[in-house]
Amino acid sequence: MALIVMMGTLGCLARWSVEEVVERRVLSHRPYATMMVNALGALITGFVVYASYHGVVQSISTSSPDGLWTVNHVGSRWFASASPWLLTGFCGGFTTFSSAIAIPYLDWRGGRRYRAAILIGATPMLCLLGFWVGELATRVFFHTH
Amino acid sequence: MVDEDVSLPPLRLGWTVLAVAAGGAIGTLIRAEILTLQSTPPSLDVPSVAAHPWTAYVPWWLLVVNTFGVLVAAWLLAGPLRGRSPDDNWRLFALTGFLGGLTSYSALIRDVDLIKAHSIVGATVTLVGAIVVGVFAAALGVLTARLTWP
Repeated sequence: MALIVMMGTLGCLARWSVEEVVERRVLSHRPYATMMVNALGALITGFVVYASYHGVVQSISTSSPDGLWTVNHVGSRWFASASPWLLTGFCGGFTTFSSAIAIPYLDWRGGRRYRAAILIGATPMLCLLGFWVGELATRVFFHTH
Repeated sequence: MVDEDVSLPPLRLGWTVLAVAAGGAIGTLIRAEILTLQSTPPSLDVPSVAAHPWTAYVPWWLLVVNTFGVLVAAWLLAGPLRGRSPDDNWRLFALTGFLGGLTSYSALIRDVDLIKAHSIVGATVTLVGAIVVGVFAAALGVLTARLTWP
């Protein structure tokens, strides 16, 4: 649990850093930074989830272990064992749902309806896209199809 | 939001990092503890896909935590933190740190992907439902701020 909390804290600091860098350029673009952070967090999540999953599939389907199998298996086992602190910890702290909804809602009430609609609508799309790009990356990384 | 000077003097940076880190640590700890209440969903392999309805994979506790986070965030932004800059240390502690650590978009997407293996409709309902309920929670948060924060 200590490692999960530590990685979650790191995730929060990383999100804040990205927001800060974007905000220093254009203040009003901060919510877009939050959106991109969420998409990137989803991408990492997609990679870790399927990196763990592919190893399980291969360990069942491969009868005679060769070098590739061993590498894949060890890599997957590592991602599976690292899931709590990578996913619940880092990605959980890195991404945020509260700001992703509350800030656009207040934008909407404040008359910035175009930006509010983009943020609310595009965030889940980009997150899904990010997750699937992460999944795709594991197929390349683990040479599976 | 008003465009203003957002430069951060080095001396303030330490407090700012501390605010985000402290909030993030507390938020992450609470989320991680709450998520242990939900039993791990059955794995992605074929037999369990057939054996469980998609509703068995809905992350109820995560949805509760996320919705609560939106409600509190909206209440803070419309009430106690109204008019404060995004660089205000209290706002960074509560919103960026605590509520950011408490809520998670990546976990929601992961669970939506898991549900998708069972039912596309179920995955869509879960994701859209989480956002729609979140928007209502934000509205409730603003309403609460009006009643509790004159």
